[in-house]
Amino acid sequence: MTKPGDQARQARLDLEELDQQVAEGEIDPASGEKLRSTYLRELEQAGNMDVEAPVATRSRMRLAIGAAVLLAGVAVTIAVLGGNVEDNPSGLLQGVAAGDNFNPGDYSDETLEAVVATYANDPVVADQLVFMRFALADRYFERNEFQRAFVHYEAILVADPPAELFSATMTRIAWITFVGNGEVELSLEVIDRAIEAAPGSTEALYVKGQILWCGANDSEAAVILFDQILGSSELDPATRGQVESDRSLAAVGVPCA
Amino acid sequence: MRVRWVRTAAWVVVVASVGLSVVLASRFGADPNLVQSPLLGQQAPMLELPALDGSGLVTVPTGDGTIVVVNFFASWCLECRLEHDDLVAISDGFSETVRMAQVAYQDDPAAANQFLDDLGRSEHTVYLDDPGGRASIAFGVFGVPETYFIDGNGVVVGKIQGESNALLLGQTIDAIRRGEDPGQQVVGDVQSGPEG
Repeated sequence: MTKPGDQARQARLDLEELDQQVAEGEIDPASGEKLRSTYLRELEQAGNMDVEAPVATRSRMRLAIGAAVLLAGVAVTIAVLGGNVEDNPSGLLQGVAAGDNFNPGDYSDETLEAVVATYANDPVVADQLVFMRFALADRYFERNEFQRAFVHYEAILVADPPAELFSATMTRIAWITFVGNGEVELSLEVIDRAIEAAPGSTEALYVKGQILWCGANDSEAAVILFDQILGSSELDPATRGQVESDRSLAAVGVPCA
Repeated sequence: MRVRWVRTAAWVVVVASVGLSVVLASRFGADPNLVQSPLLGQQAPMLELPALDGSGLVTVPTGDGTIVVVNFFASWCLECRLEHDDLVAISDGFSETVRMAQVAYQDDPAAANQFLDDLGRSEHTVYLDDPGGRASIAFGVFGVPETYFIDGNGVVVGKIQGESNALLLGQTIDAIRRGEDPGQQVVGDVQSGPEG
């Protein structure tokens, strides 16, 4: 029979290893969260909850604080930007709301706005609501209505979303920051937070590659990222073709169109 | 250039949307024995009633191309209290395309006004008294809360019986805007009077 002390030690060890495994991509973030809950429960059962916050929790807190600081800068950018951005220079933006599995025609903007407004503070639906808010924000994002989108992306971050959603949200904010006001450095800081939260996110890596190539004129660094994306086995053919095309242009020093 | 954005998140949005619907729906009961409203498919009754704030007679136009939502409520109705925030949010959210009226059902105007003072009003909604129950009789209201949906041609095309919510109200309006008839949706119990 395992002693409580041993169980607690093991659970702590597991928590520490889990962070590393998630960071290295051995375990996906969603599975990581489940395992984390299990280990924390084991730790609690061992009667030893008087421990430091798990590394991952601190990490998420750090991410959130970092995000808040960055967002202050982004908010200024958006305010300066004023209206909508008419041009989407990369044509990149094909949001989740327009994805194969979600029919935005089922819900109007007004309906989603009303739902998120009504249930914004309801803990019963909070976990689901952030995803609905994300879908709504993505619609505005798709239409280059960045100010309206930003309000919702900001609210999502405040709600302490799962790592993948955090990353996806930060990826879009990075894009808004880059496209909206040409804030290359700030957008790189934001996209790095997105990649930190979800290291395997090809979307985040692609956006960073775009910013480096198109904003920082750093084709070499962009090519490294494009290669990293192309190493993923999950790319659909269209995306793979796009990234390969970008990579081949960047590799020979062709400026971003 | 195009890239598929966050494919992994796409299914989560679907699950979340369904999940939210389920969570919201789980708050309701249902009474399958209640019969279909005879008003569905018929021209809406004329709605000309005194404003609850005492400012005079108000006519709610129908058949002018604008969707009209008519909600019957009462201060003594718990479900009405629970759905009120959702109605306000929907009225605000659809203020440019939908006209909303809330009619006090078998209620003292002072109590109904207190209810609105406590829970809030939408500046886009007209709040009406129904002395003698003329409107509620014309609409065939069995109890509260009940919400009727009138299309741009003035035809009653939808009804929600019981405590509604923003998602359901919005979906119903969206359906009407697509030219569909949402029909009657029984989502919970109604109270026919202050004693239940």
